[in-house]
Amino acid sequence: MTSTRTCRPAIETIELTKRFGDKIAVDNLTLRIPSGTTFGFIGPNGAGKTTTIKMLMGMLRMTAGGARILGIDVTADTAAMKQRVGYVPELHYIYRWMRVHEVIGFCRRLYETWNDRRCAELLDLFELDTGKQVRQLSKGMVAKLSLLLALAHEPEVLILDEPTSGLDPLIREEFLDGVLRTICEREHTVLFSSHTLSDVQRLADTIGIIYEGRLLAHCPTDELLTGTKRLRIVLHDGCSPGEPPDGTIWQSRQRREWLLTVRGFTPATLEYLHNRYAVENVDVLDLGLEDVFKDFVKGRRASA
Amino acid sequence: MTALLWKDYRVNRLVLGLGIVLLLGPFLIFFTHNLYTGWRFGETHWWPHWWIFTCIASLGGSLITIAALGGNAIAGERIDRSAEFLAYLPPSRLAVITSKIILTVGAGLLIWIVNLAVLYGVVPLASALPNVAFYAGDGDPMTMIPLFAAATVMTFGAAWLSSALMSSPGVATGIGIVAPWVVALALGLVDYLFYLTDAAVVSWFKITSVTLGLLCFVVGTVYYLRRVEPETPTFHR
Repeated sequence: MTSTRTCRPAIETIELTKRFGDKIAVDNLTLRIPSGTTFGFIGPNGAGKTTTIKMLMGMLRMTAGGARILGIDVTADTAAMKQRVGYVPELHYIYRWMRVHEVIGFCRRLYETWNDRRCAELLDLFELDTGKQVRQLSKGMVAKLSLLLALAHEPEVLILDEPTSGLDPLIREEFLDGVLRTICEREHTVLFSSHTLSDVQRLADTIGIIYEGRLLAHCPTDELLTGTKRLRIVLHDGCSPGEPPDGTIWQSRQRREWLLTVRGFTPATLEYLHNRYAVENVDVLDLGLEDVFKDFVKGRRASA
Repeated sequence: MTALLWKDYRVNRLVLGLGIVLLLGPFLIFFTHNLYTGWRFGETHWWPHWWIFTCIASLGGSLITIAALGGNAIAGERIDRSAEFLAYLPPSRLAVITSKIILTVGAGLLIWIVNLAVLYGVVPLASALPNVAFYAGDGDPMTMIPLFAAATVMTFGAAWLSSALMSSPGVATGIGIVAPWVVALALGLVDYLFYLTDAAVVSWFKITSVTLGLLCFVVGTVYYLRRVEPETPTFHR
C-alpha cells in the first residue's frame, strides 16, 4: 500500500470554499489524499464534511477553489470522474420501485468498468435478495446495496459519506468488512466520513478533523494518536495555571488541577511545565480518537 | 442512453397508462355506443362526425397526458429524491434530459400520430369524403387541429418548465393544464379591449401558445442543465 502513497494525490482540494448565503460551509479547504490510502474525515454535524464530499462528487457547486479526483477536475469532466469513483451517501435514494436486480442492471449499463463477477461476489457477501424491491429492503440492506453499487464497477476511489449512520452493529460490521475486504484486495483510495470514530480509527491511514468548514488537523492516524496526550497536572498550593505549552489544543482549569490536551507531545513539553510552574504531579494519558476529536472541537469552540 | 430510457419509461409508466386510456378511451366509447345502438349511424353521413368528434375528444384528453408527462419528467424524480441517486451516477445531465425529452416528446408525438392517422386515414375510408379536409361544420378539424396542436405545445412547455423549477409533479401538471386557458383568457381580454376578429384571436392564440410553449421548454431545459442537484445546504436537512 505504501508504494503508491508518494505519487500524485488521488483526491485533491485547493482552497475549496462553499457559501450558502452568509454561512460559510467550507472555508478554503486544501486537502491532499495520496493514492492507495484511506482518509478518515471527521467533524461534528454541520462541520462541512458532506458539503465537501458533495462538491467532490459534482453534486454541489463550489463558491471558490477547485478539486481534482485522479487528476480530473471534478467540475470540468464530472462524468469521466464518476466512472472511476464509487460513492456511498449517508441517505440512500435508490429508486424504491426498482427490484434489486433491476437497480443492478440499470447501473451495470451506466458504468464502463462494471464487473459482473465482482457484483456476484458482493451479492453473496451481502446476502441480498435480488427479487425484492428496494422499498422492501431494510435500511441496512439498502446501505449494503448502495455499497455493492459503489464497488461493482471497481472504482479507483471510494467515497463513503457516513455510510453506517443509523445501522445496527451487526450490519455495520458486515458493511465495514465489505469495505475492508475491498481495501485489502485492491489499492483503492478511500475517503471515509463517519461519526462512529471507532470505525474511522479502524480503517483510516490518515485523519482529517474539520470544524466550521476549516481543517483543524490532517495527519496520519498513528501520529495523531501517539502524539496527542492528555496531561493531568496538579500544581502546588498558591500556584495557578498560566500560559499552556505549545501544541495545546484544549485546556481546563480547576483551582490547582490543570487538564491539557497537547498535540505533538514530547518530553520537552513536561520540561516546559516543570520549569515554569510549581508542579506537584503530572499524569500523561493516552487518548482514543474520540477524545482527541472532542478536544480539538472543544478547544476550537473555546478559542472562538 | 437505453438504461436511462428504460428508467424514464418505468418512472412514467402510470402516466403512460393514463395516456393510453385517454387516447383510446374516446374510441372505445365510440365503438361501445355504436355496438349498443346497433350501428344505426353506420352507413350514413354521421360517421365522419363521430370519428372527428372522437379524435378531437382524444386530443383533448391527451392534453392531460402531455401535461402529466411534462410535469412528472423532472419534478417526479425530485420529489422522492431519486434525482440525487441519479446525480452521483456517471450519465451527464445532458444525457439525462435527452432521455426525458425523447420519452415525453415521443409519447406526445405518438398520441398525435394515432389521432391524425384516424382523421386522415380512417375517416376518408369510413365515409364518402375523399379527405377530412373536405369536412366542414362546427368544430371542423382544419380549425381544431392547429388549435389543439398549439395548446399541446403550450401545455407541454409550461409543465416542463414548472417541473424543472419545482419539486411537485402535481403542481407542474396543473400549471401545464391551466396554461393554454390562461393564454386564451389573456387573448379574450385583448379581444374585449381592441375588438379583434375571431380569426385574429385564433391566429394569435396559435402564435402565442407555440412561442411561449417552446420558450418555456428551452428555458426549462437550460435551467435543468445548469442546476446542480441538490442545491441545498446539507446542514439544513
